[in-house]
Amino acid sequence: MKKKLLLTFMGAFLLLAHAIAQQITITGKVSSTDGPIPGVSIRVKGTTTVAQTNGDGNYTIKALKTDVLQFTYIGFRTQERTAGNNTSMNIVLAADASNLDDVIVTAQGIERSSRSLGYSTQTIKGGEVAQTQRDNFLNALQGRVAGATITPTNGTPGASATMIIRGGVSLDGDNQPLFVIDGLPISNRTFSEYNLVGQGTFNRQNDYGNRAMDINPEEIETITILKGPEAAALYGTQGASGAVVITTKKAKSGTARVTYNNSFRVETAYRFPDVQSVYGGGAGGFFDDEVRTRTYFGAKIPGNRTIYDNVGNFYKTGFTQKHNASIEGGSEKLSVRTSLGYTNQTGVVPGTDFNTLNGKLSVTSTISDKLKMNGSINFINSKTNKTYKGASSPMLSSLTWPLVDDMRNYLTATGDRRTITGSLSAELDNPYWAVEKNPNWEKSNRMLANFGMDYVPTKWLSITARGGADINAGQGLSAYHPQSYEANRTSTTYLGGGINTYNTNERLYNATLIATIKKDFGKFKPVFRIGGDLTDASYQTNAQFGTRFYQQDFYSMNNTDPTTQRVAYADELKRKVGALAVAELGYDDLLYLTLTGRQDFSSTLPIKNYSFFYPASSLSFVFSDLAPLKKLSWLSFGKLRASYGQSGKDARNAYVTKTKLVAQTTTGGGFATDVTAGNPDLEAEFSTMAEGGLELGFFNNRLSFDFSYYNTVSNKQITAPRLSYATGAVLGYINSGKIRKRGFELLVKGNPVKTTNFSWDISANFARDRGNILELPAGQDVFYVSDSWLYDNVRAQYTVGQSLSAFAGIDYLRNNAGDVLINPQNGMPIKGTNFTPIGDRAPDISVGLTNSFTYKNFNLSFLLDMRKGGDIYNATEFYLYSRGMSTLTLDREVPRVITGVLKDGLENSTNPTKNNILVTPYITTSYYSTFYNTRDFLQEDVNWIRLKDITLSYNLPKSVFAKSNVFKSASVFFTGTDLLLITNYKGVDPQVNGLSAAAGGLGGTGIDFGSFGQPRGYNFGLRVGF
Amino acid sequence: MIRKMKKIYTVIVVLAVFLSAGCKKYLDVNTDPATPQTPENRTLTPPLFAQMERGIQFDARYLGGVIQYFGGAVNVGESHGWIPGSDAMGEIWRTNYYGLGANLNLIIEDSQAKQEYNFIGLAQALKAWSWQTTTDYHGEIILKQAYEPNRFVFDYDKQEDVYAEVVRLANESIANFSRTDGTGSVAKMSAADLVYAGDNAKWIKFNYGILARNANNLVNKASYNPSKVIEYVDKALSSNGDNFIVSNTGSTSANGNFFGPLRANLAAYRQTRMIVGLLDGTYFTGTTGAVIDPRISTMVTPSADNVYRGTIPGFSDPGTVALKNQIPNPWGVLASANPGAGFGKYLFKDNVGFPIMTYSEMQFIKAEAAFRKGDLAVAYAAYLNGITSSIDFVSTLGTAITTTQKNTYMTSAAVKQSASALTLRDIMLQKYLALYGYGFVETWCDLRKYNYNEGDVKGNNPYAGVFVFPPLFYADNGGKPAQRYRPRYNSEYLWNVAALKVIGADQPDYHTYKMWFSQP
Repeated sequence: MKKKLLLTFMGAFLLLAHAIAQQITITGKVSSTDGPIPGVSIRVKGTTTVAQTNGDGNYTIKALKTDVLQFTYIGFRTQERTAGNNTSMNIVLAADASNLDDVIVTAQGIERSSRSLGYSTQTIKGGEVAQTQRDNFLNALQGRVAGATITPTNGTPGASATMIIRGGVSLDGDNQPLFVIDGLPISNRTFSEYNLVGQGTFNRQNDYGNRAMDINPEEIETITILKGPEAAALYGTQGASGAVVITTKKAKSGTARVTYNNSFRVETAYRFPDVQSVYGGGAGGFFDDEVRTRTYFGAKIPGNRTIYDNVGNFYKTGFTQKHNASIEGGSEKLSVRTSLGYTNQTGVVPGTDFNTLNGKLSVTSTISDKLKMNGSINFINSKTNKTYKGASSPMLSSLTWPLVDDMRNYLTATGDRRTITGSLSAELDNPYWAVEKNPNWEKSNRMLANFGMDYVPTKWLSITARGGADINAGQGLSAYHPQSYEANRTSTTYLGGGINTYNTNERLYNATLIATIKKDFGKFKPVFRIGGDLTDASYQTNAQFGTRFYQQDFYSMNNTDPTTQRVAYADELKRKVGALAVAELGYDDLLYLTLTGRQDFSSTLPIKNYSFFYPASSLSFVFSDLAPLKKLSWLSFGKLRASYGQSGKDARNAYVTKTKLVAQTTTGGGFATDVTAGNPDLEAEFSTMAEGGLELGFFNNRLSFDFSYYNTVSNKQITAPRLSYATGAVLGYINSGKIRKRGFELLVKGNPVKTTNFSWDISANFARDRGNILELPAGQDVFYVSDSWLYDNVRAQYTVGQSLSAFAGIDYLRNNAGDVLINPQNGMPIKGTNFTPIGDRAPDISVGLTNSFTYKNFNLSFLLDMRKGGDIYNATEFYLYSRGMSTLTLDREVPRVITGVLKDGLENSTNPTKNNILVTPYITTSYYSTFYNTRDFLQEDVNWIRLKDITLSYNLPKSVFAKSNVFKSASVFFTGTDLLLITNYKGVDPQVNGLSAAAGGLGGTGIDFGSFGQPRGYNFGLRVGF
Repeated sequence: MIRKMKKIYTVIVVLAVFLSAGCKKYLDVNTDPATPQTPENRTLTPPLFAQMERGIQFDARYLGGVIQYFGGAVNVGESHGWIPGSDAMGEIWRTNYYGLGANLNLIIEDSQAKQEYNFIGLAQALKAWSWQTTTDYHGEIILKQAYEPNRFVFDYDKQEDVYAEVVRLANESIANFSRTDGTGSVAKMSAADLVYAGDNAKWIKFNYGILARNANNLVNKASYNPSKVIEYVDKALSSNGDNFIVSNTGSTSANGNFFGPLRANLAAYRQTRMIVGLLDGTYFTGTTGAVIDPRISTMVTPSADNVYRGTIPGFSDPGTVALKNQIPNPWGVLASANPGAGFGKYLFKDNVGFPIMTYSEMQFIKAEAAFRKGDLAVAYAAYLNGITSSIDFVSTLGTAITTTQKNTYMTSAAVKQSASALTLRDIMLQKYLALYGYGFVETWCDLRKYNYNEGDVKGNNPYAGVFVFPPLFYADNGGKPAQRYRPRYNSEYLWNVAALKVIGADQPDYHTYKMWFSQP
């Protein structure tokens, strides 16, 4: 037996030696019309032997004479060459404007040719994203990805951004896509205030960064957005809302290459709400000469008073510096890339800033012909100093500070908080005082590790395994000074000064294993994949709360009265295991049928229902390759695609199968049932998705179209709606609700001009999405997301038969003919009591338009983000209106009769009494402060055109560096962000969110309440290669 | 090739085995390590008491205005109104179904398994109390279908049914507290029972107290049985030592009394002319200042000029001269100021316990029943007990009242000196006074039994000339006083609309619909 083994071993060794003997080394240069291309991947077809071109475009690879070499690079057509006897092979790759032949990294790290995909994907280059110089790279995707909406929470540094693909489908769950880096999911969590003691402000008045923003845009190679059902089928429950698949820059072999780039950014506040400057503080038309009020129903401000530009003075110029350096190089056996990024940003609001340090090391190694390994480790440290938004924010306070008083004067002679009314509890904090005395920050220390292995035992089998960890320690503090309004207002929980702190510990382990079997049978080219993945996610939060500061200006839990201190501890562990099988049946590179099946097992469902299966299928037909069509010179590409599939989703949160018992802080302590009832009968929810699409390329792909239409029905959603308290709880987890989504996306790309010195590329995307409520949980008529009910009576509310993104609000009472009912006693309208649908946040259509002009070494590119339709609730204006500060109150001296009929018993008769009661709001100020109609502040059909970003860059000509031993390349650039916004919206910025990205459902998009708009940013910088 | 196939096959088998067997164990981690999900009667019990006071005190901000314990025209309470689309006035509802309800069900379930019958008794007593309070406050409520699993739409039940259920539950609770079998013991319950420390006898008395309230509300019914009421009272709380008081630590806003300065809810409220008038001799003697009640300095506060004043319903503080005739708030300070944590007075302090039931209240119930029965001697004795026990109780909440002061008052013109001189007016007004600041729902029941100042069907009108309506009722009332509050908005008005229409709760004047208990 031993002898046999030895012989086998020796035989194998000899065979290997023989094979090595036959290998030849091939070298060469890969270039395009623009010169050498670094980073081109050269693969020995059917093996894992891969090499890359170095910075000069040179490569070296070992192969057998019979092997076929594949040269691939994003944005260029892949080329294949047989090795033969050539030891030197120079390749010129042809640019592919429409990317139609790209290899796309799809779900689970599976690389597929774009032509074989039966669903829509879109790939963005990392450089394009990095060039926008955004601190949160998600914001650079708005307008660039068809069908994706990115809404920033605030215009201050380190703010979170919400990304929703195709409008979302979950009523109150998570609608954000899965973020995947180099084949493994990472966390994009936004800290939710529900983890704070007392649940904070329910994500309304404070924002926390969404953790995908930790990714350094300079390190991104490509971003692929997966929207269709197959992404969901492959990623399982986590990918049901789409996936953002990021591939980072990999180490390239060759002599060491060093790059450095920097950017200096100046930002200024852009757009403020209009406030009236005619009438001063007071009531009933009497100007309060001593300035003791912050409501503005007084007489005209006397001419001898100095008017201060308080709002203008408050904002400052923000400044950012960014530095990024990378070193890479090595041999084919082992190459290393390391990079370091540093950002230091101060915002336009005093006291706000963002600091981050990002270090990454990645290693690629070739152990043998059959085995390749790679690994990376990424460390990110960041700190954000924030300010509050929404109610009691510096924003609202600055807008309601008396114009006749200098707001900069914020301390009394004794160093205390200076107020207008003389009472700490009667008015919002002076903004200068607030940003200084109410600290609010968050920190994060994060490490991402990724380890991968490709093993190709035979030509027809390859196995890819990947494992990684995402570990993040977060920390935060938000406090109110003892003299703050928040510490003194009626029934405050911050009495005597209050402090909220938290620590989070997030750990995500992921592992995937995929075996691919490939065997061509003539024109049939089937590929089978089987695999599995595992996710182990743990999240712990420890929150502390204390009030009654000992020392006024010291912000630590140790400075609070111990009898007031409270804690909240949460510990969540979720595990998921999935097994998947994919069959890609390709025929003649013409027709591809992909069948996918996935079995998921989730720990968040009751054990009896913990396993569920769902299938998906897709078809791609490249009809332009049919013989008769191939002859058409004007048609370069044509593909029809269709996909149909299901996706299952488990419960978003762990431990919802039983009701939690929550520790009580009332006298005697103990436990009591949670407001949300658990459900031992929960089962997985399912969405059925159908998508069809057409891709066309004309004139050598200089003009191309990509159209998709989709229809998704989500059924038995796991939701936690409010219910009758007779259930024994306030809310309850149940399986219910049916939602239908329909929409389309159109991507048009063109290259109208292309000469030696000048070229113009244009790309436009159009998207429309409509969601409809077919059924609601528990057969209810309405279901609202209570977090969105943040100012007066407007909220996101679902109503059967209505849009998923509808607003509901309280309107005036009306008679049967629709006339407003008027109170005969005072001539004022009568408010209703029921919430009825009053608007819809969803735009009719959104458009992203990118233009890029290249002239010799100059490049100018810009992105216009456009939107038509969609309603926005301008709660900021409403806030100002009810305090007499809105410009809408300027006609207050004009006596008027409110149009309507008197509620005198005749209102529904054939002869209702027309209102004839004269009201002068100047005197009767309740016209503004009490008898407003909330509905009037819902601005309908908001359109915008935004110059999202514009970049002008200049590459220094090669000749400059000819004699230099140090510098190899250099370029300088200018990038402007949000420079121009043309809109019919009356408020600051229509791209707005009243909640943070932690909110469920569609969050607070379209609710504008005390949020800072996006500032204008001017970036200058340079890139140098050594 | 075949060998390789075998290898792959092995991998698949191993994978399959892992996925099926190991997988289940690996995934069985759905138990919260931070928050328990397995209920235990002892840990669920302490928060119940805070829930009881929470419901009453939250809603008292409005109800206090209706019954004129609170003044100052702070909200729609004094005009007998309601707030559309708001959860305000719906806290008793929340307490009944959520704060208590769900937890009481879990306690009963756990105790049944452990055969700890005293815990079952405790849960049933609180259920009985809560159903009684909730129906007296809301009228028709969800009773029979409540807590049914997988039910999301509920029918409302008649008040009559709720009254019957209270009787059934209280009797079952008494039976459970009387059991000698099982494993329940005073020791097991004493730490969790923040009110009676596991004392079965006191819990039985509390149950009889609930039965007494239940039976005493039915004076206008043909079925009214005063003897039964007296019997219940005789088995109920027998001294101030039996008082059901929910304690408040008062160190944080979470464990502080809702009426205390720490919670800062009462700054804008004012003491009322009715309470002041009952304490300064106005209503009992007809002459202001003729007899000053020894409780006066603890329960209310004089203006800066040392004159006791109170507000008229529907009017805010008429005090025009600072530091002279301004009316103090319940904490005893002027101009809506907050005296600060730890200050305040009477039941309006951070660490004062909130009474749910007192011996004094019981004695007034007995006095009313005996008076209606015609047994004046019993009625008079109970009337005197009611007053003295109230004085003793108030004495512990502020400046101690000496025996001499007490005796002086008891022999004064404010107190009837013989059984024959006793009237229902004496009993009901002394009861109104004794329950000041805590007996919100009970006092409202009394006022509604007698149709406020209009009198009952038999012509008894004890509040005439003392209780006055606000000059203008809330617009929706159609000139009628409030009789009930609507079910909680966010519980019912979105999820249970069909059932609300059946009882008329969709009507703007629903809150003026008379209760079953107050009608003949």
